[in-house]
This record gives sequence, structure tokens and C-alpha cells, in this order.
Amino acid sequence: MPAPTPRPTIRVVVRLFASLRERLGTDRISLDLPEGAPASAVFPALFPAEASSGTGWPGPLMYAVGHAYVTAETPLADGDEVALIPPLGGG
Amino acid sequence: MPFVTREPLDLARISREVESPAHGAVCTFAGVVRDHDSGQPVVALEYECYPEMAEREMGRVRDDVLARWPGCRIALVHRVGRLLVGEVSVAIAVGSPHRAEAFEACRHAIDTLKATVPIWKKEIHPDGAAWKGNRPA
Repeated sequence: MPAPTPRPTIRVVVRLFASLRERLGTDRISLDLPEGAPASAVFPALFPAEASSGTGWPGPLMYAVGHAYVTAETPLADGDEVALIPPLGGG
Repeated sequence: MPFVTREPLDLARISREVESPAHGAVCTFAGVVRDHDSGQPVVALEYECYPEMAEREMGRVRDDVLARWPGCRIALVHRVGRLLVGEVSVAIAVGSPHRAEAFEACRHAIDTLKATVPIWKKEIHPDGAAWKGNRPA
């Protein structure tokens, strides 16, 4: 039987802030995801327990790629800088 | 001048940036660290930002105001780091020919900033701390 073709992956850099940064103990982490993964795939990949428990922590997330807001469905590309944006507190 | 700084904010200096002989009004807004929130005492706020994106989004707030209120000038700066009660966290100045636009544009700028600029705050209480998100305007 032929070996299964490895699923293509992409590598992104995730920037973390506020409660997310504190929980993971770092403000920046490299993450491998399947090709075509949307921005919304980042949170469950980094915080599987919190994502599956449905506690709602840390509140509604927004996403940014390359320093600009994107929708949760936006497909990520290899080399992207992705940010998880927890509820804002400026002002 | 950068849009985000760790240095104390000087509202008078920011106001001078929008001076113009064509303006009959300058409206300024200062966000100030309050000693309580939702009935809980607050001793300080710790602000952090996504530096590259905060600069970009603050620029978008400025550009949006200039597009909506042609003839206005606007200056806006947000401070990050640990701020004590009474310190200014954000300062906005809008100059315009007449007062109505200055008030409207200043209000629009702070409301948009709070909803779009990637800045976060942690409330420091006497016995703990908590990240606090903005309520809708």
C-alpha cells in the first residue's frame, strides 16, 4: 500500500496579547496548520481545552493578518503574521 | 509624532498641533484613569498594544475624521504602560471652523478608536487584576 501523501501544511506566526498572552506565557508563537486553514483555526490550535469547553473565554475574538483586520473565514497563507484580537480596551 | 507612546500625555501640546487661523473651535478629549469600575476600586490600569497595528488603526481613525469633516484638523495619541488614577490614557484634539463639527468629530474619533485600535487594558485592583473589554458605545 502506498504511503499516504503528507497533508500540505503552512507555518504562520501568531501574535498574542492581553489574557491570551498571559495564558500561553508568550507574545509570539510559530504554528503549523493545514493548507487552507482559516484564521479561526488558530484559537483551537493554541487553546484546545478552552476552545472545546465553550466557556467563552476570552470573549469574542477578532483576527488580523499582516496588521489588518480579516474575517474569521479568511484563509491563511504560509508566512502570515496572524493576531488573535481579544476584546479591546483602549480609551 | 507616533500615535502610541509610553510617555505622559500633554493635552495642551496636542491641542496646539491642530491650531489654524481658519478655525473657530478646538475640541479636546482626555480619557483619564478612574478610581473605580463597576463598583470595584481601581488603583491603576496597565495598557498594552499591538504596536504595528495600533499605529495603523490610529492613522485610519485620523483619516476617517479628515474624510468625514473636511477642513478639520485632528491629533490623537494613546498612552500605554502602567497608568495611575488621574493619569491621561488617551488625548484627542480636533480643530474646525465651527464648534458643531469639532464636537462631532472628536466624539466620532474616540468611539471609533475604542472599537478598532488594538489596545488592551488590565484593571489593577487592591487585591487582584482583570482584563477589561470596552462596552459598545
